[in-house]
Amino acid sequence: MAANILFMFSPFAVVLFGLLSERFKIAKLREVVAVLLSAFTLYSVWLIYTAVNASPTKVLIFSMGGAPPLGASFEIDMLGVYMAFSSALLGFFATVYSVSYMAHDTRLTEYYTLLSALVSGIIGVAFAGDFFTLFVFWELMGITSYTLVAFRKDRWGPIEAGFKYMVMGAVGSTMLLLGISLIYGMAGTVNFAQISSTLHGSGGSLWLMFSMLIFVVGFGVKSAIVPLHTWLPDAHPEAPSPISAMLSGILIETALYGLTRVLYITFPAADFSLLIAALAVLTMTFANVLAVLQQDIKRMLAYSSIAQMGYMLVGLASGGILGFTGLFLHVFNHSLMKGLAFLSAGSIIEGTGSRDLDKMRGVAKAMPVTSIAMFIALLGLGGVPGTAGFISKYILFGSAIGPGYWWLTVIGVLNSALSMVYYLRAMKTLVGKPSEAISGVKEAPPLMLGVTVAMATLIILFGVWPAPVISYAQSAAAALTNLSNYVRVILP
Amino acid sequence: MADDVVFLGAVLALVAIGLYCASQRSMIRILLGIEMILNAGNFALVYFASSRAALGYVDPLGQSLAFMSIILGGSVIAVGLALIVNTYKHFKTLDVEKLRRLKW
Amino acid sequence: MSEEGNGGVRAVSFVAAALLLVAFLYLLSSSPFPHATYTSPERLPVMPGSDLGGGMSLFLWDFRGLDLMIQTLVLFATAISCLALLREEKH
Repeated sequence: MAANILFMFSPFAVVLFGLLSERFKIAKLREVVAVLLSAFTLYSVWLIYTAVNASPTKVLIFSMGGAPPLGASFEIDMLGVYMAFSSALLGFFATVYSVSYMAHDTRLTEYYTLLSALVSGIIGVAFAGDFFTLFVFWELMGITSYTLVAFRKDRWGPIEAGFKYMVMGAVGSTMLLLGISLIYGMAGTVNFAQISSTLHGSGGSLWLMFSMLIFVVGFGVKSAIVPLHTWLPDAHPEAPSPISAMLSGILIETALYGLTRVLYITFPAADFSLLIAALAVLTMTFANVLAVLQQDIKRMLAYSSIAQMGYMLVGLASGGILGFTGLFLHVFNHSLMKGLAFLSAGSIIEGTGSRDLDKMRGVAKAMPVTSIAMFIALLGLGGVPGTAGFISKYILFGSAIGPGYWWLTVIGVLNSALSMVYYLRAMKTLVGKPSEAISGVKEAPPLMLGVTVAMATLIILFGVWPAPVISYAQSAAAALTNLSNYVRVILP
Repeated sequence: MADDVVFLGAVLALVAIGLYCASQRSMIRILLGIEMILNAGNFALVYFASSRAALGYVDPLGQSLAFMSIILGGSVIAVGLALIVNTYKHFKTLDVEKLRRLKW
Repeated sequence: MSEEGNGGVRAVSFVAAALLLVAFLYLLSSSPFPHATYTSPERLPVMPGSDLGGGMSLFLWDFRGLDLMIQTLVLFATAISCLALLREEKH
């Protein structure tokens, strides 16, 4: 059964219905169309999952015209479907949430079109089967996210954050193109499977190491690895809350997926694991220390995202089935938990009118459901036993002991404990004594409330019943490490 | 081998100059630096595609990738210029040093 | 264009770029670039006067068709982005 990628062209339909809605003054037409199309995307990714499961090699090839390895193709294995499913799910929740959150903004046709194109770009990066397809989707992902961060252009904050993000993101993309050109020079091809069969065991020539460094820089800018992270603490708070949830929840993880895929395919693990381990320590420690000092709730959550990327880098450094299972399980859990944290923070900010933690003291009395959802998200992020976050962190830090990186485990556990400091402080502020700044605050509108409740239910569900998600992540990790199968589908 | 040194040296010189340009103060120069590194990447792609021209043929894959990458670079610069227009409306300057209102 | 206080940053970046260039040239001279020995089975003749443009467009559409379709999506997203960033609403 072939893969149907018609859902990737849904931005065209959104803009058509948006223009109709504006011209003929039909209220809510474009919102309904946007939500329906994001549900259609989710359904299409589910169909692709069943197709991948049904195929004998568990890999699906999709190409137009010429066949791979010369032609551009999607090579969809379980890992690609896993990342695409996380992105489609979070995109659906963000679109439904935006219907209520962005109701008072202007230029909404462009907003829903760009959000739909962002989801398409992220799914395309997960599905890409050769380097240049990945690069084109990478640019799609980048251009839409630069604009969406700077969307509320009437205030200076989003514009400054959007410009800084654009400069750093564009430099990262150009470094990525440089790396692609060097790999093309060394291998004569850009197809992942063919690069793996040509370059994988060929010894570490100096140029190959140099291209590895360029790839770490190119992917690391979008993936918020310290010291390339400086755009993130400005971009995430200034973006509208559903866009913050998308950026923090799935975009930086997709960048890390790109890095994982490229490094695993081209280099044996011994070449890159020490470098990734050092970057993991740097990222975790730096982000957690700076997060303790934040007063703005969204900025604190942004630094927390950088720290969680550090934990995921521990999984990449450990390698092996266990490390990659922990990495992908944490990607899914983090997308749900950080998405819920940003969306409920958006509800609270809409209600109280300010992002400062001091001005939100005691808001739990006025907005009980949203505060409970925020509690669940923060407890999960901190890794409290009983939530989904604990299980993925346990697997992540446990996997580092095997390959001899016990110091990674120790530093990781210490960082996790340090992160509970600022999560607990945020929770304490929410249930504190109400200040007069929050008098008159009502509960969030029903659509926003419904989305936060649904996501909180999913987090609790996967916390008490983690078996299906763990086996799903394990099949994704098995698909990544099964390099010979990946190569054999293209080059028999 | 001498070909390699000349052309790859030119690619890496372009990258170095582009990175230096991207760390300047004026926003337009930053965009020019980004474009320069993009051109370095395209140049390397075309060079590797034609590095066996002495045998009478060129590899079409590298040239097509360079062709499509030029279009992508143009898109990034377009969005960058739109952002610069908006920045000028708010900050009244093209100086990146003045964009320091967002604290650490 | 340069004022006081920024001379330090410019000097550092100039030195860094120069060091980068020297390191790259050392890399180039020390180990030769491992060119690929694999060539794609589609080859284009490089004789002067041959119809390179037509052959190239055929190659692009046959083998890189998926990238071209997604590129239309990128160009469309760029147009919508510029519209979103530059449209003035009177609210």
